[in-house]
Amino acid sequence: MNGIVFDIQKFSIHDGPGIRTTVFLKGCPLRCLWCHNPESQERAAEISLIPSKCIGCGHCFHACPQGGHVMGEDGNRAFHRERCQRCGVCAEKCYAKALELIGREMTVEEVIAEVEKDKPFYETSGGGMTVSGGEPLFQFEFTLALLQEAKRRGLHTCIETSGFAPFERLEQIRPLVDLFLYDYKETDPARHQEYTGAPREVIVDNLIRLDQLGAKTILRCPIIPGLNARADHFAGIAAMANRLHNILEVNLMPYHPLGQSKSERIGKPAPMDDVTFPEAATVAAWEATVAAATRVPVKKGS
Amino acid sequence: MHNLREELHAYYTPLRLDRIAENAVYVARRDAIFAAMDAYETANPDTHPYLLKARLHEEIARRSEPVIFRHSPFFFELGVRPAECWGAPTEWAPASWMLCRRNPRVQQTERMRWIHHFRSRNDKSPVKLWNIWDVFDYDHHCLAYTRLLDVGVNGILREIAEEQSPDNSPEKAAFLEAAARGCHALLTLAGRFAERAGAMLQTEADPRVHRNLERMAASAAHVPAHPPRTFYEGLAMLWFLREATASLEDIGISVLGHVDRLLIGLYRADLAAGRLDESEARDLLARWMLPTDIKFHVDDNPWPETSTCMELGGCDADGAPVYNELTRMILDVHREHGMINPKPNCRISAASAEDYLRQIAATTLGGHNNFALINDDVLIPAFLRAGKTLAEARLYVNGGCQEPMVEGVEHSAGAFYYFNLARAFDLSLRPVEHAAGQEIIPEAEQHLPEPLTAKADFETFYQDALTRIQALIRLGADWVRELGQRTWEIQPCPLFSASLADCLSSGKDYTAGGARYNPSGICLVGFATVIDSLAVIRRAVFDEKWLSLDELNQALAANWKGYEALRARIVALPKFGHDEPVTNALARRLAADLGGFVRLLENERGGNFQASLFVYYFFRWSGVDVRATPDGRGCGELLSQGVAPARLHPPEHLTDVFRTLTHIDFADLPGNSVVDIQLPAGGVLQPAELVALIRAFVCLNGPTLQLNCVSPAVLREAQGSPERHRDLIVRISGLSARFVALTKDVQDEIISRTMMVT
Repeated sequence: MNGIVFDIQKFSIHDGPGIRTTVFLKGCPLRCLWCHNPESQERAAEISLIPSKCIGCGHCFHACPQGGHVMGEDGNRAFHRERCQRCGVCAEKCYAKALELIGREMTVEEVIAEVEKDKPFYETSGGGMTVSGGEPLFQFEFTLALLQEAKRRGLHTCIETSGFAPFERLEQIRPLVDLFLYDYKETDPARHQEYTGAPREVIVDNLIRLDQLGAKTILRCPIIPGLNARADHFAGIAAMANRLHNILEVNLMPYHPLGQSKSERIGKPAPMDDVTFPEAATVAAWEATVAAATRVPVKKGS
Repeated sequence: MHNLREELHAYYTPLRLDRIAENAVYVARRDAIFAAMDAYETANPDTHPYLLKARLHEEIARRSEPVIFRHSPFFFELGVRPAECWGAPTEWAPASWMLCRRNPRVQQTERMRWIHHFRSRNDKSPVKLWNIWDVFDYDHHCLAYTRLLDVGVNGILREIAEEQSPDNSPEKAAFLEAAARGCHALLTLAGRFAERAGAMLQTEADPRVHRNLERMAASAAHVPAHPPRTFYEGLAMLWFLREATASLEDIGISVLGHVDRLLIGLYRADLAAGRLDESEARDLLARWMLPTDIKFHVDDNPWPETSTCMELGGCDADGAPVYNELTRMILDVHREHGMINPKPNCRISAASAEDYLRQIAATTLGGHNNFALINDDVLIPAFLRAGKTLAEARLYVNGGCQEPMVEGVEHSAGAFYYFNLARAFDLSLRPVEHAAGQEIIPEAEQHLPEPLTAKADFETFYQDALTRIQALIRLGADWVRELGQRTWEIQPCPLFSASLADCLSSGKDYTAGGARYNPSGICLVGFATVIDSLAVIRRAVFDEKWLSLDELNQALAANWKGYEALRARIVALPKFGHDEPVTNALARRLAADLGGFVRLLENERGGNFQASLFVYYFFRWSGVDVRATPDGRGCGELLSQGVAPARLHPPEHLTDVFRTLTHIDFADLPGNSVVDIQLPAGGVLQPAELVALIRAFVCLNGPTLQLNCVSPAVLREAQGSPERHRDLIVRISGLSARFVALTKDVQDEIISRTMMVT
């Protein structure tokens, strides 16, 4: 069983309890305007270019079978993405790491072997493996197999999901997941559609049904100034938290603009290029607003 | 505390090294002792060196001026050392008379000229291979505190008396006599403190000062002759023994003792008897710890090396964990007062209490970057393999920085020979170059290796390289041993030796090999730089054959200029710390090959050398001596620090570093190895996560961990507005400092370190 993995992040301390390894799977059905991992959206591999790392060795000119990398008339290197077949040969030859292939095929065994390396850290911290994305339910068969293997090896598991998938998928993985990190992005249905490109209803229905099955959940709420940092959405978060029986926490995830530079690297426009980090006091006020309306602990996440 | 600070400042400021020459009273006292000793030696030219030292002890005991600080209950200052001297030799200390008069006999030898010719930071040296500043480690000592607290100096005197016999050899007789006279000098000093405190009592009106003087008058008459009766006397005895012995012997006593093990019984007894309460104990500890930071003026000292450590945690001789209310209190008082010294060296293990590690973690995350965390589960097996008994090994301490020694049975001479592994490899690849103005000594330089040539396979290449590096390590060891054999007549220390196991029965000073164990350390600098260089050669030259040794040497000679693409390709290869099979295997092998080799080298005291992988700040100071290296490092750039990965291509994850360490058998390196890790301050990590990290480090057999929790943004701001960041403490290597007091280049180096968690 193969999956498309774009990163395996060790010593991950913000994606569930303890010290964890987070496996990032490529491909997501949503197109959130604020996405901080734009390189995770497409399922196919992509080429990332950071021009400041280029040392001008010229290896990529020769490596690319499509002539995608050329010396421009201005004397600077140019990358013709329209010619790129995403084979990654140029990245293999780019020792300065200016070019990188985002996304590679891995088997379940390969991923688990990598994850298991940090078992001593899970044991001392109560950590384990988190499957994230993209949207891990988008590569469902692989995610299922990965979770089955992790459980077989006694690892604590989390999944970070938007919940946008047929419910059967969530039902199927529920016994294999110790903790769901479930996104709750927008209360207003029309805005949800506008901001994420996906309908809200199926996500909320899935969340409630999952809760009825007894799944432990942390609600993860990205808060974006100018979009969903609104009183009615904060009230909506609290109301949703109050409806759930097996929720452990609400995490408010203040917007960070790191996705903007990542978009540029893969040759895509950044949908939001004018929003910056919210002030700490603003974030604290959000927290207080939500906390006042729910019995569930509210924390800042990242 | 404020009053004590002021008092200490006022006293120590005129004694600073940069002012001491103008301090006429101080200089006159030193000169008087020197003159008295010169006259004595002239009149008694055949005096045995041991007895000459005893005479020096007596002169100092008689002529020094016990100084009492009214706001401290402790008695320790003899006025015979500069403020920044912890005991290691300085010509300004009267105790250095013997060394000043006799060491030139060593320093002026041809062999010493050769050692100097190979020394780093010698502008005339084309070789710059090592830092051997003398042929014996006069620093990094620990007194036999356990024994001394148990029997008192009188107990040692009784043991000396038992050894005395008309049948003793002249050497043993001289040694025993000198040891006894040294002990009496110590008691004389304590007696003079008691007298002075008693005299001051008569006129003292301030009730708190009166109480301090009363305590001193009563206790200085009791300890160190007898075992301490109270927690206060225990603290007083440790501090007095350390300061007085260092002042009499002219050696660095780097360890103040395993404090929470040594004093917990007295503390509990005082509490139970109602003699002491917690707040008074805290006040005592604060006053006991304060003087070092003031003496070394850490607030404006750009390199506040104090070589003053206290050991905490770990276990006792029976293996029972040491973590108690005293440990907690010491750590808390140290943090509360923003102290840097004494350096807290904390022993940890798989058995460490959760609360202990949590306190260390929370304190570190709060920016109190002062800890060396030393793994018992590695060090104790290392001492066992080095031939010590389990009960002995369990009482190890670390002093100076992290140099380990087993208390009461040895001087481990842990850090006087820093060997630049990377330079040795550099000199094995390409011949030494002589710049204009540099000296050439053909007799010394004939020992430099022939350059390595292309070989059929990596195995042969590795063996050739190893042979060259080992030959250079041996060269330094041979030269040091040859000259070090005279240390016993140059700088014997019969007082220090008196309490060290087996010196009395063997009738020999520890400098003559009288102690039970007699190891010496060789610190190997640039470990990862060499591993990475070997890994590059293995892959590029031998396995994949896309680079010839000649082309590599050309690139190195050009310092990569014109070879940028090659350099990028080389830098991108897996490196030590990435937990990759090739670099892991090389690291394991090289550590074993060097550790095993060094272990067989004999030193001047009948002991052997032992390798260590800590480097102090030589990763930078000695980096300038090393030309471009095959790992992609440029000429003069930093070397790898301790057993940490090099910074050129840092590992992606912190856990990779820890897992890498598990491949090296550190129990084979009893000299200790240290990994420094930079972590983000400001709430990125929680104490529970840091505890989990420390535990993982322990269970993966990491040796010693030093954490530096900083925010680069705050550090940069502190460079611009130092007045707003006076309290910021950073870990440099085996020492910590106030960030704003450091020079700009050291500040920049610290800011540039790889942040292992983002």
